[in-house]
Amino acid sequence: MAIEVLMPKLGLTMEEGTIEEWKVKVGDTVKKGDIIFSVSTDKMTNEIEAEDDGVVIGIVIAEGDSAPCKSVIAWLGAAGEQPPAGGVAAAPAVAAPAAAPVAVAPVAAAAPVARPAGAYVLATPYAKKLAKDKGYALAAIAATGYDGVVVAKDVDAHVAGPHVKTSPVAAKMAAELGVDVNTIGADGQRVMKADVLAATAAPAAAVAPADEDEVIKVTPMRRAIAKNMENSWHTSPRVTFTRPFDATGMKDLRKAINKALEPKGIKVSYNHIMMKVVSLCLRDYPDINGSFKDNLLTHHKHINMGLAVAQPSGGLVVPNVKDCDKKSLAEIAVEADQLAKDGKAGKLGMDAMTGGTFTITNLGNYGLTNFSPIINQPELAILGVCAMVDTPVVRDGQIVVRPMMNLCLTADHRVIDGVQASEFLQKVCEMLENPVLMLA
Amino acid sequence: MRKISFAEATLEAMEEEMEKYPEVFVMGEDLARQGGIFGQFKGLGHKFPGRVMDTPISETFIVGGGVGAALAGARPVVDMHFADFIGVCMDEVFNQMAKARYMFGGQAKIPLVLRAPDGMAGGGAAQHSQSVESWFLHIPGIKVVAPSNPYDAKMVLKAAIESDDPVIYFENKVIYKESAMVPEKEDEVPYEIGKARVVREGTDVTIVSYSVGMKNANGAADLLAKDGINAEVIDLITLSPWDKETVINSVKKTHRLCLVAESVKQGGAMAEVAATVAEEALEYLDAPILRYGAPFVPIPFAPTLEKLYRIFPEDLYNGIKKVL
Repeated sequence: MAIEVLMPKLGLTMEEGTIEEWKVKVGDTVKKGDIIFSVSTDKMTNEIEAEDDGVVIGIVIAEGDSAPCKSVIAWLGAAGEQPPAGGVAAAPAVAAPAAAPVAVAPVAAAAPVARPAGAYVLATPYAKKLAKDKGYALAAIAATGYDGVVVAKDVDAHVAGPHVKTSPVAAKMAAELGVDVNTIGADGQRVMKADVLAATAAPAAAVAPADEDEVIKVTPMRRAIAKNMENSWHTSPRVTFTRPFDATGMKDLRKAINKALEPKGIKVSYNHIMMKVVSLCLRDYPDINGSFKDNLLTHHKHINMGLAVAQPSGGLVVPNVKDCDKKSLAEIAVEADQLAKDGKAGKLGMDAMTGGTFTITNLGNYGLTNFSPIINQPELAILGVCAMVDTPVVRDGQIVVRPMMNLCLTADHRVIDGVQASEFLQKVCEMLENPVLMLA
Repeated sequence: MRKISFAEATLEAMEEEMEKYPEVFVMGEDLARQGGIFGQFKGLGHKFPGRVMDTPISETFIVGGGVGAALAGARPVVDMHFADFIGVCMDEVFNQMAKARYMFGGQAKIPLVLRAPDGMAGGGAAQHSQSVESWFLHIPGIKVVAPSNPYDAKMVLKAAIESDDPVIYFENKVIYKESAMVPEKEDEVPYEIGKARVVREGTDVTIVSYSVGMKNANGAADLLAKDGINAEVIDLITLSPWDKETVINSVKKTHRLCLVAESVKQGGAMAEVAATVAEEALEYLDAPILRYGAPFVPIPFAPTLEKLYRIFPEDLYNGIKKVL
């Protein structure tokens, strides 16, 4: 009796996942608890264990393809057993090499229909439903109905064209993006999601194959970042406020505290001090530790401090330290370091990734003295931390050299006016200059 | 079964119900003495002395009195003479007749039938030709029926009289004279108010109508059949509550819908059918919904203009051919 392997639902907001890698192939025997595949979502990549013992008898979703949560992605069963009829298309791994690729000659009747790119295709609701069910792009269907409308019989007639096997995800995607699966992918091969993406991503390349530009299918993480940034850019009318502070006090504090924590092996960084100080200051600024939607302003009860962590592979994650204002510097250091480590390794849990109320991003390592970070939605502000630069300043009428540092606060002006932002930034700087205020 | 006219079929229904229920009585204008303006009450007054009453020309009383009698335990059948006159007693209809059962918390019932002859009979002009059924589809508490043939005329009227809720029974003036097979008492199959009937099965288009509009529906289906197009024809019979399920199931099969009624198209009964199909079965439609009804003008007196005002089977045929 074949057992379904389902796309896991790893968080409340997860709707689909992408198979990053199959760690097993058809015919392999797996034991409950073995890692059988890794799956990536908008937020992270996880390794998934088998929930049953058995032999992999079929793989439904190929590497790089996505599937909705709780849908069947593979089958386990007894050796030699076949997956249920219709339950799986031939796994790509077993595509018989002996069979020469079947050249599918385009049938004249299904010649691509000349329509301006992106033009709205007039079609009856029933024709649309049929086309969607069959994974056809409406744009590719010749219309013979009244007033040039695509009707059901046009969709039925389209079946007579080259019938290419299509993965369910590719079919869904093709229908959504208006791509004709019959015109893409390798001849005779199953059309996969990547083929659909390639067809939509590189229209220019298709026109001019000599072009040397490389078109890359981005990772789910990059897609997520792109979506989030675009959303933030369109959502928040933002202003970035930049202010310097004298980091002497912070430097001294760090030195002293690290000396004390040395036996415990804990090292407090400037980021950790920033997190603590900003969290404490946020207590007095509920508008900044909030979110805004549909003209409703939410003041968050908890201060969960997010820290932007760059991944070696080029991604970006923002795990957060919960109730950061209530934790000691040592606690923050331990927790934030672990989150950063997990973040870099792509192993963060859903909990660490959600619930943030404010974000700190530090580019000081790169010598920046000014930048304008984008707000991590649905938060209302983000603090950019710049490099510490020894700078001549005037103290008591004398020119002295002090380690100066710029803080760049990007705030959503829908909620946070200039005075409030500046005042908050001033409070943060004052506390950083006199860390003893943390005890006040 | 034998062949009798629509008017005779209603008369037969009245006789059978009056024999069965002593509490059934009839009142309206010119019923006992004249036998009804279209002969639909002929001889009823002699057969049931005292139970068929002529009233003064007061629609307000006819319906108001009927509602009172119904509250007191009678099962009145009251006649409007012409459906066009129903505006006079509108408060009695929509505030009293329709609401009493609800307002009394179910302690009262209104088993009243309001008979309303309607439609264009030729030269009736703007005040004696109208089909006003759609006004009442907007009023909870009233059942609205509009049979299209002698068979249904009898069975639907019997069901209306036996209903404990008020029913408006629209009877078309043109169909009165038409004859068809009608069952005798022992062969009757009771009609259930709210049920439509598929009168012709087909696969290519669903044509829905009621009352005299069924002439257009059947006529168009005949024309289409000559071209090898199989129309499914549905007679709604009851307009409120109407048989959504039968219509939607048919649309799911044929993927096309054509609606026709004699009344004014704007705000007509078919607008509700069209909207419901669009709401609940949009993705089954393979063509725009076609809807035929009268233009938004008063019904003209001049025969040439009245003809211009009417819908004919050819109109449906041409429209359906265009979207097939």
